[in-house]
Amino acid sequence: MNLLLQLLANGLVYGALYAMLAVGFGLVWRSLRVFHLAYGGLFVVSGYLFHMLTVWAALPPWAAGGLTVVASAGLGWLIEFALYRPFYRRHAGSGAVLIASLGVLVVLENVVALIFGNELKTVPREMATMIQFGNVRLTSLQLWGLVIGVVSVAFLWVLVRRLRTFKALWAMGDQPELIPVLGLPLYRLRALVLAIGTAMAAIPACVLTLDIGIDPFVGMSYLLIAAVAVLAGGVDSYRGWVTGGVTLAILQSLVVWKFSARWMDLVTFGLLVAMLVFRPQGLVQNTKRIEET
Amino acid sequence: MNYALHLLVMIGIYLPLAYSLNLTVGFSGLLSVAHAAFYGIGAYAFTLLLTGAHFHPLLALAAAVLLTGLIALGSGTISLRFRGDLFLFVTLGFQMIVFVILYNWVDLTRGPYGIPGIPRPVFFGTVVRTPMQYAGLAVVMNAILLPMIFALYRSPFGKTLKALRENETAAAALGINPKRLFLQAFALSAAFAAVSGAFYASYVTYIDPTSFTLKESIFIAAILLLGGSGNRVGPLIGVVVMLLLPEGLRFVGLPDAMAYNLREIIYGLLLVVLMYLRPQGIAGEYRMA
Repeated sequence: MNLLLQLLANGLVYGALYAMLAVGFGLVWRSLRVFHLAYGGLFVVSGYLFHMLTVWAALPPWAAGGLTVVASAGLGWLIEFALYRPFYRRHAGSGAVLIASLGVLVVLENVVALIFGNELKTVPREMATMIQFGNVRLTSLQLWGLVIGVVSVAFLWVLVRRLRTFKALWAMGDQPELIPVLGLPLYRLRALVLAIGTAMAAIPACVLTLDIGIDPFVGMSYLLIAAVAVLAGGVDSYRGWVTGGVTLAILQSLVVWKFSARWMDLVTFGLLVAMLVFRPQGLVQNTKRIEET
Repeated sequence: MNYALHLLVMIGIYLPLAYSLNLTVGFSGLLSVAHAAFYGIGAYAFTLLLTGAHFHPLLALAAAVLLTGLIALGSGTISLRFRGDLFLFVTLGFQMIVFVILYNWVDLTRGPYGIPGIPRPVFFGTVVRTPMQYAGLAVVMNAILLPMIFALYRSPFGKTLKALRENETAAAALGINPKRLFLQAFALSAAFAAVSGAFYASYVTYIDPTSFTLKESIFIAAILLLGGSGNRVGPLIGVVVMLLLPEGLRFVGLPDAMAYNLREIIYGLLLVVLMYLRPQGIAGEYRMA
């Protein structure tokens, strides 16, 4: 029982990180209709940026993290500006954009590998302090990850639900041509989505780099986690992405306990396939008017 | 000389892979990244039947092809509920699942240790051993497989797939069953990949799961994306470019550690640029939509 509680707590910590990843990926997919594979590459670049700032520039983690998030947002803006916008202007099909995005993922990962080498890079830090809650123990770092995750996901949630600019993102996914008609700046909105999406990837990248280190080729794994969370949770709903991320994390932590970490990918994609077959609308579905279906 | 022959053998292995995937990507317009999984299932099934069950090599080959086709039928029924990005993502999931199984089902596949000592093929009493003999065998394999695949391209089956690719709704209105045809194309392409897998296993005489990763699948898909798909020229150009480019880089004299990353960067950039300027690849017919 204690072990189960502990695993659930670990699952929740990872759930908060996965939820951030899923929200970043989901926003881009829902509003740009781009299957944003380069997301994994941006995750890796943010992780290494954080590593550089903490190790080479010797900044404290919070300052390095803040700088990384801002820089990553800029990088996301650059990706929209240099990659997705030209494709959008050309009315390229979603397949072509997906492949180009894959190309960028490959380039980013290998550029990082070329500069920093292929091996795992860790950030030296003092032993994490354990904090006890009844029968559950978490490191202070895990606790920080949980708090940051909950706060940023909740903050973005409020923005998405309340702010007109953000509500327009859902409309942009369906009818991008109508956004200028509403008097909203289409391209600036697209850039905003990419900036926020990348920032949402940068936060877990920083936490995970500090916690377990980073190597150039983890991008694909986190990208797949984000995509599965979004697809399993429900493409249309913010609530679904968060639910998907948390469910996936808890499921993974239970698998590690019951079987072994090596079967984790099987469970991740098993969940995806089962969801797509039995409940293609996702765990959480927004209520729709009958005309929309 | 042996080096050139080795390259020839590798081209001989990748040609059927590219041409068979062309049925799914170029003709059906469905980008799949599970081809290395089928290639791997073929290699493993062939090897296990040969070394474990002591089948006759040709019987093992036939059984491996059949098994791979059946597995493709099963995974195809799920993935073909979707089109476009989602189809790609479900095949990606299937690829990951197959890799995890090959890697972790140690009792069956010996997992990360791989299977060594795969017997070399024997024809009329002579063991195929030298690179020259393997190159000859590769030519023979291609001389058998490619005309079969090309016949499929030309047949009503191939033309119907193209009709479905261009406009699924309209083709369905003409009484064509999209699901059935796509499924047939998917299973056929997997079955052909299994032959390449068996050839690969008996060429290197050692297989382990790391030859059949998602990276490999993306590599095979990239062959079609770069070279082009939907016709007979595109895959050929893709195979030649993708297999010879890294060798060219080697001659430029880059250190090996850098050469790998640099090669990947070049592939990545090529993909981006081609998708922007020429979504049909270098010589393809089908434009990535």
